[in-house]
Amino acid sequence: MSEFCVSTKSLTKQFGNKLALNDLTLDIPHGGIHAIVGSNGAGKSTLFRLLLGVETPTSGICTLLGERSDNISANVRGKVGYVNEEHTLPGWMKVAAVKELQQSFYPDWNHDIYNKVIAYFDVDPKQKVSVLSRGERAGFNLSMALAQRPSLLILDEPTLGLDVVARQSFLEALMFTETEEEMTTIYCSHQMEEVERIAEQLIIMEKGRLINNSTPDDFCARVSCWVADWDAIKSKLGNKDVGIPGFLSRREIDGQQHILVVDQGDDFGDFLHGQGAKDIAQLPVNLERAINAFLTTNHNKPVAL
Amino acid sequence: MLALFKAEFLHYRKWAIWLLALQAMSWVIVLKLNEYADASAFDSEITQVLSLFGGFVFGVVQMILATRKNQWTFLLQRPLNSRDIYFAITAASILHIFIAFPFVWLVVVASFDHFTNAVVDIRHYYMAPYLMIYAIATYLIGNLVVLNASRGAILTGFGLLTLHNDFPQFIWLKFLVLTLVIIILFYLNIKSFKADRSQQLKSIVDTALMAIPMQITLVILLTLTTTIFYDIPQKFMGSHPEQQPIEGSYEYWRNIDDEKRIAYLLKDNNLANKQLLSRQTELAEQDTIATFYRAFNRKNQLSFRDNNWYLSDEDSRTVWVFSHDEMLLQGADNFTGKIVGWLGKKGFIAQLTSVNDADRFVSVPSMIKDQFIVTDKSVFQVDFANKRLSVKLKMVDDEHLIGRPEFKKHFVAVVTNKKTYLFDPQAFSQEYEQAVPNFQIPHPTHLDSFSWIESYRMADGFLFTYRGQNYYGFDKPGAEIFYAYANGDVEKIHSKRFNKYSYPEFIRYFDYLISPVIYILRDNIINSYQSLDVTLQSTDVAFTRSWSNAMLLTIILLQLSATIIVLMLARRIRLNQEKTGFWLLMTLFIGIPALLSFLLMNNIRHKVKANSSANIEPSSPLKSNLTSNINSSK
Repeated sequence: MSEFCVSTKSLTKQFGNKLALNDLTLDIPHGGIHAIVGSNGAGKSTLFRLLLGVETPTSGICTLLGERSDNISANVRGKVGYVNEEHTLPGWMKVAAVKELQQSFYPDWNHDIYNKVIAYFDVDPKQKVSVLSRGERAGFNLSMALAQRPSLLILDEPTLGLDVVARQSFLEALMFTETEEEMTTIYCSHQMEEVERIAEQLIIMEKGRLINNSTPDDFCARVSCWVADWDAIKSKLGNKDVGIPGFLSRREIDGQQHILVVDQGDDFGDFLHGQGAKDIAQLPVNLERAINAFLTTNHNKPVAL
Repeated sequence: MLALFKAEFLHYRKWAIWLLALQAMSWVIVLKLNEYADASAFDSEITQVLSLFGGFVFGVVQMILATRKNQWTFLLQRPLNSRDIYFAITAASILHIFIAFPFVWLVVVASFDHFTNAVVDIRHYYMAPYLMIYAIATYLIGNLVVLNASRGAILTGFGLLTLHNDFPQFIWLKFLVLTLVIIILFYLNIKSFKADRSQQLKSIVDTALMAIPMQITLVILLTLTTTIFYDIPQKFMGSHPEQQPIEGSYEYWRNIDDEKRIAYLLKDNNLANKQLLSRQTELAEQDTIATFYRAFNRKNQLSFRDNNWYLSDEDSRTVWVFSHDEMLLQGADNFTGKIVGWLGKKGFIAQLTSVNDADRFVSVPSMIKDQFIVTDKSVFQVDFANKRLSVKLKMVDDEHLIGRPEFKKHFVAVVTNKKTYLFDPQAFSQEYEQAVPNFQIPHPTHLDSFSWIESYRMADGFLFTYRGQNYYGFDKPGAEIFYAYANGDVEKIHSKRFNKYSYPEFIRYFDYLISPVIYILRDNIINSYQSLDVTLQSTDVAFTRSWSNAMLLTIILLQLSATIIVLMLARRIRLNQEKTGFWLLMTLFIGIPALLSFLLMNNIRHKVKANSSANIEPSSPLKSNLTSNINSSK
């Protein structure tokens, strides 16, 4: 068995002139829930498509449960559950028939898991899949994915477009259902509160590159927020933020400048002092704020006129 | 796999049933509209066209829906190998095709067979498997178009499909070719049905199976390009050879008014009476006789090929339909459908039990004018009033008719492989005895060299012109004039070889410029299978043709240029040695079509871009401080 359930090495994928994945090297160990976050176009879905072998990298290699993605065996495919944001299911079939169809492929199908998960959702087995609501389809999809007892479960923005109640049910079903201990879940989402609740490992991608792979706590520890007097800094550095080490963002609140920086220790306060700042204080940063600061740093902005 | 088969069947079941209902309704309408109808009455060509387009559209739509991003992942992400998944889908689709196309046909034919006296032969049942495999073949082409990474997949599909059209006369050969086509298409689809469909087929065998049939379609398409780059612009400018032919050319002569054509031909002749002949032909009644081969009905042919398959006698209100199983005509009352008798080559027979083998026709005849029964060796005439059958004409030895008799105002023409016979039209139609020709004119040259004879009715006989673009050999147009005197004598009075050409050489030789090998091979293959149905030159003839040095040089240069381009591009996209060798051989042998298929089967632009981007150091859009501590937890 491979050390990592997912591994990529210098993975690059180019669509025309757009670089969707840029020299991505990522190793995801077995077990746990790994959240992948990133802004739109960060390359998350492309990564999944490459991992599942439905697209071929421009360069680099990737493996899924130890097998190269461009040649995945039926055996490994059977060990990977995949739930996409559309919850694609055969709409022309009834719920019971779809369940029967999926069940026929998996000899280790777990009825208990299926029944427990589907109980979170109001899904009638006699209903046609096409008439299910988005939330019901999401639940039905998750029930089947978990009942397959996969070694790896990939959830690609599964709660996209779901209302609060459906999203709550989905997360509870995912978190509180007893599945295989060694099951690895890769959870891709834009919802930070979801990531905060379920992620054991946080992977952040931006513009096709990996910019973080750590526990959420470790990640939060990397980001610090400093409150300081702005005018003093302005007189020293002008309007340029680039001179601030580890700069992520700054915002003015009640005349005070709140500066978010990454990988800066206590000596950052000394730096600010050195720049003439007064009344310096350090505040804690929650995960959502830290991630947002990370993702917005390099976000394209209109050129000032 | 069975579960997947069931799921896929459920998906399109309703559409198949709708098509079935539509066809059933069409049958009801056809039977209501026709006073008399048998299994051949329904236009089975419509059914065939429906199978062709129905199968293709189904194949395309099904795969487009299945290959949408998330649908595709849903379909593949299960513990089955892709071959089994495709197998299940195809099996379900074959069941859909059976419901949608041949099922109604089978029901209707079986109903005719068991509940009416209408003629139903075993060949009528053959239509069902034919429609089935035809629709499966087009369905697989539809699949291939979507599944295969090459933009030329549709050319491969239709290249393969055209093969079976070249073998119309032997039903077993048609079935065999279509079955082979299905096997090849199924194999290519299995290979193309893979997780990443943007990847071209890898092995040489797969590439060859894609590329070789593609050549047929490309040759046809390239041949048609003269319309775009030559005919349309020339016509637009008013300088097309049809509008402004060069004087002295064959086209110039063809453009002259009918009544002045003979005078133009005789211009440089020394005949004493040429003025008189010219004036007579200006006033003479004209007609044309077709001299190209028109296929006769064949035993057990598929019913959509039937033509002139019955005689109708209005006086007795009976219809006489030819039965391939019995090799007799079966007479039935037009209204009641009751069988009134049988007609064999020796005459009328009251009961089928009285028929012996000598009564049966040896080949399947065509019926014309409601009184003539024509085979390639004989013409029979039926006298319904007196219940007798007379032999109007009988060919002996190796002479045979190449078409049905042509009834003109002043003569009946019968063209054989050796002669043209002209009969008096009154005697031919009204005298129930063996016909005696007024004129017999041996063909002046090989039958392939001309396709029409023009006749001029003169004061004391007929004047005939034989003409053709290849009358004196390949690309040697000419015409000859024959005088058939009233006493039956025939005299050649003039020959004309047109030495000037209205069309430039590269247009006349365009087919050969594109791909001499394909063009000659195709002629030869078809000729070897059905020399009776088409009149094509053999390979020997093609090779003994005289070519101008300029054309030969152009052909060689084109072949070499295409090969060099393939070599350069193959290196650019870093094609492996094996494949490069294959494509070089193909292009050297076939020429421009092979170059085009190379471009269609290798996404050159994409590969060149990918190769160049692989050499570039990946850019770093991020500040170093963000990425410096990526794996902080490890």
